[in-house]
Parts: sequence; C-alpha cells; structure tokens
Amino acid sequence: MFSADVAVCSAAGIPMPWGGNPVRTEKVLAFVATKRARIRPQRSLKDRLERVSVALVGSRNELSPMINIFTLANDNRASIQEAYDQLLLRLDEADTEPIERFAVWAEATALISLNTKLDVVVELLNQRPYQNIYEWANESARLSSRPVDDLLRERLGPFYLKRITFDDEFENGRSFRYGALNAGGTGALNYGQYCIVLNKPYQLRLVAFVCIPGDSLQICSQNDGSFDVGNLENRVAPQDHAHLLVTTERAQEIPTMDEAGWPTLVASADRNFEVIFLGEIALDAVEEIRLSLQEFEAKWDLTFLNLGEKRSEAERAIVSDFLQLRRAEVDGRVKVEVLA
Amino acid sequence: LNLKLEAFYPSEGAGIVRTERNLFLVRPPYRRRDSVSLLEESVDDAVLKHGFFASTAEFRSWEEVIEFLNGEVAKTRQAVGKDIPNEIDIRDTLQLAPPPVLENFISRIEAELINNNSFDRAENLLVAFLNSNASNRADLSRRAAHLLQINKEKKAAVEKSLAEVANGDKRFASLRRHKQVEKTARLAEAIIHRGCIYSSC
Repeated sequence: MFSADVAVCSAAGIPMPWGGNPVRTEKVLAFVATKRARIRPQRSLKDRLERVSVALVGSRNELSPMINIFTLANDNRASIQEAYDQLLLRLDEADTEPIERFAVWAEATALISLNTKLDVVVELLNQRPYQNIYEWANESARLSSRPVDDLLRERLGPFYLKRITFDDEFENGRSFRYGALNAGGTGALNYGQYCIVLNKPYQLRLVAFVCIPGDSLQICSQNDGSFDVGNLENRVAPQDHAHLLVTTERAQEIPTMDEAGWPTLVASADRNFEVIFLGEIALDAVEEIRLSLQEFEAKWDLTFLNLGEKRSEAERAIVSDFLQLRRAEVDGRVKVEVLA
Repeated sequence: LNLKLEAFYPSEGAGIVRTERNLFLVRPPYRRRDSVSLLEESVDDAVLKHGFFASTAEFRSWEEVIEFLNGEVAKTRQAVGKDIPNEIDIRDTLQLAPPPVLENFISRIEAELINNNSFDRAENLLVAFLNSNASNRADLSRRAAHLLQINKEKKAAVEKSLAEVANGDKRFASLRRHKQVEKTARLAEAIIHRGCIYSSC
C-alpha cells in the first residue's frame, strides 16, 4: 500500500479498499490512476520488496501504474518554454544576448554521449549493439542457462533493489538507455574513459528522448532510501526543448563565461544533463569516440609493455581491444578524438 | 592485510578495492602509480551506472586481488567466445601507432630495454620497426638503425665479459697476487700423495 494512494483516497473520502483486503473497485483504481499524476508515491525500499518481486515475474501491481517519462517530458513543453521566456524577460538587455546565443549554440551542438569502457566500444565496432544491464542479463541467461534475475542480483549485489525499483517506476524502464548531453569534451570519465558521441541524424530519429538536469537517480532519491519520481515531473524536457532546459538551468553562469567554456556548462566531470532514450545503438549511430590524452597515453604505454614480452591475459586483452579501436580509426570506420 | 573488493569490471580486470583506510580503483598493469583514490559514493556509481559488478570478495594481499582480476578477464571473455591473443603482434602495432607514439617507443627501447640489458627484446622491436611502414619516417628510421647498432655493441660487450667470467679461471686471485700459486700447488700434491694434511704422517 502506498502512502500517496492512501492520501488520495482519504482526501476523496473513498474508503481504502485494499487495507489487507484484496478487494479493488474500478472506481478507486481509476481515481488513483488519475491522481497519481499529481501526487507521486513516496515508498521506502522495504515496503516495496514484494512489489518488486511481483514485477520481476511480469505481473505488476495494478495499483501502481508505471510512469511514462517521455509523455511527462512532452507535457512539459509549454512550461519549459515559459521558464525560458520568463528568464529572458527578467534579464538585462546585455545578458539576454549571450543567453539567446547559448541556446542556439546548445541546440546546434549538443549530442547524446555515453561514457563507457573500451570493451563496449569494441563490441560496437564488431557490429554488436550496445547493451544495457537488462539486455546483458538476458543474453547472459541464454548463454549460461541461469535465470535472468539471478544474474542481475549477482551483478548488482546490494544495489539490486535500488536499480530495479527505480527502473520499474517507468514504462519501458528496463529498455532505457542512459546518456548525457555533450557539446564538447569527454564527459564524466570516472569509470567510462571512452565517450561515445551519437550523431545528430540518429538523435533526430529518436521518438523517445528526455533530458534531465542532473542524475535521475539522485534527483529522485529520498533521505530514507525511497524514491520520489515526482521530483522529475517538472524537470524533464523533450528533445526539441532540451537546449532551453540547459540554458535556463545555467543562466546564471552563461553571461560571465567565455564561449570556449560553454561545453563545460553542458557536461563536466561533476555535473551534466542526463538523457534517457529508447533505441538500439549500433556503429552507424556513432559520431565519434572521445578519450582523454591521459587515457590514450596509458593505453599506448600498456601496449609497449606487452610488445615482445608475455605479460598477463588482462593486459593482452585490453591492448588487443585498444588496437582494434585504433585499426577502426585508421580504416575510417570510426572517428576518434583525443582531448588534452 | 585485509583487502575488500567492492566492485569490479571483469572483462577489463579493473577493481575497486577497499583497504583499511582508502578506496582505490586498480586496473592493469596494476602499478601503484596508476591506482586512483576514490570517494565513498564511487562504488554506487560504478555499479549502478558504469557496469561494474558488485563484490564481497576479500583478499589477504594485492597479489591475490590481481590474480583474481586477471582470472576474471579470461573467464568473462571465454564465456562470450572472445579470444585473448597469445601475444601482441609487433608489426601490426607499429603500423597502427601514430608518429608521436613511435617516437616514444624508440626512446623507451633505449631507456628501458638497451640500458637495462634487455638486448634481445630491443633487437626484436628495432628490427620489426625497420621492417615496417613506420620506418618510412627517415628521422625515426635513422634513430632506430643507430640504436640497433648500439644494442649490438652493448650486447657484444656484455656477452664478452660474461664469457670471460665463464671461461677464465678466476680462482685463487689472492695467491696469484702474492705469487704463491706454484708453491701451494706443490703442497696440495704432497697432501694428496700422503693422504693426510699433516707432514708427520
């Protein structure tokens, strides 16, 4: 039972039909579904254990309709445009010009990027599509004859519930691709040293795209460990309004920043605009692969250590992957940019 | 030593390891200088967003951690039918390396191989270099040829001194210095003849 649903029923004077009793009336269900658009549930992970296990076997609780984040973004068009227009009205004339220029620049320049590992890039080069964790689990289950859920639990360990619970809040949550807007630079390199930048034609073909000012998991996480996906409600933008969201969010910094620094307003090591989208990613969707000079030098260093010397399998595997990327670049199959 | 592997990325042998005081990201070639100190929340990010596998494994030494991570690379790649080459093809690599990298390789052959008496490996790399497209750059080619010559000379010098040690009789240096070799040899023969070290026997 979810607190928001209870609140809705109480407010409407409708007796709660399910308190320990599985009776559900159509009237209540319809009412709850309508109101849930405004009052988002705040559930602790513990409360939702049972619900998650139900969802995993494909029979989701009827009382918790999934949220369609893409519809949410489409519904925000007017409010995002209005926020941007209000911003321009509030500003001095001197500050308006760079803001408008930034918005035009962001619209023209920002692309989706995914920071990932070298072996993922090599999979793409070898004509294997990019996989999210659920696709990986499905494939691994086929290869190993182990249950999908066991593989997910094993891989995610103590983070299993957090990931599953969050993704299952949304329609098609298990098909989501998580990326970030990128208008130059290597993105957040912490663990993904290879920044796959997707091309504009691919991006324009996407029918399901939402841009979020930050990390969706962080935005929705509550102090008690529960999620409030309602936090996303007014903060997600569709593709054609993503540049306005970025501009509005960074409005304070744009007038004082040199244009050369604008890409860092879109994505830097510690902040970015998350993009959630649906769609298969193959090599023809890739604009270029970006990596830092430090990573580039580290990989050639590892290559040198392995020339004429038999070292570990791990090193040879990585060097072999790196040389495949380099071969693809030399052959013109992919563009690689090394950034200082 | 108690090392806890918090998360790892099996196909590349990378691991997030908790020591008593810190959290480190380690990855091949597992040198101390390449390990990165991490913030506490990094484990969440690594598993939730960057494809790392959560882990509770504990190890008593860094060698054990590295052995585990190395093993995972082979296991994971084998499971999906990806071969790991037995060796890295030198000629292929030299063809793919951009000019600044080739320059760096040549410098390292001199500094790390020739100067550390790894003559055979240096020779293999230099010969491969001179036989590859990389030698199209005249300056690099000249430098490689020069290093090959130096490598041969140094190798010959070292082999010569090793041969002297192996073949030359370096025993009894002090007796030789004091011109006592013959006298001592006679004494030794006398002892053998008597079957006793005492002259009264």
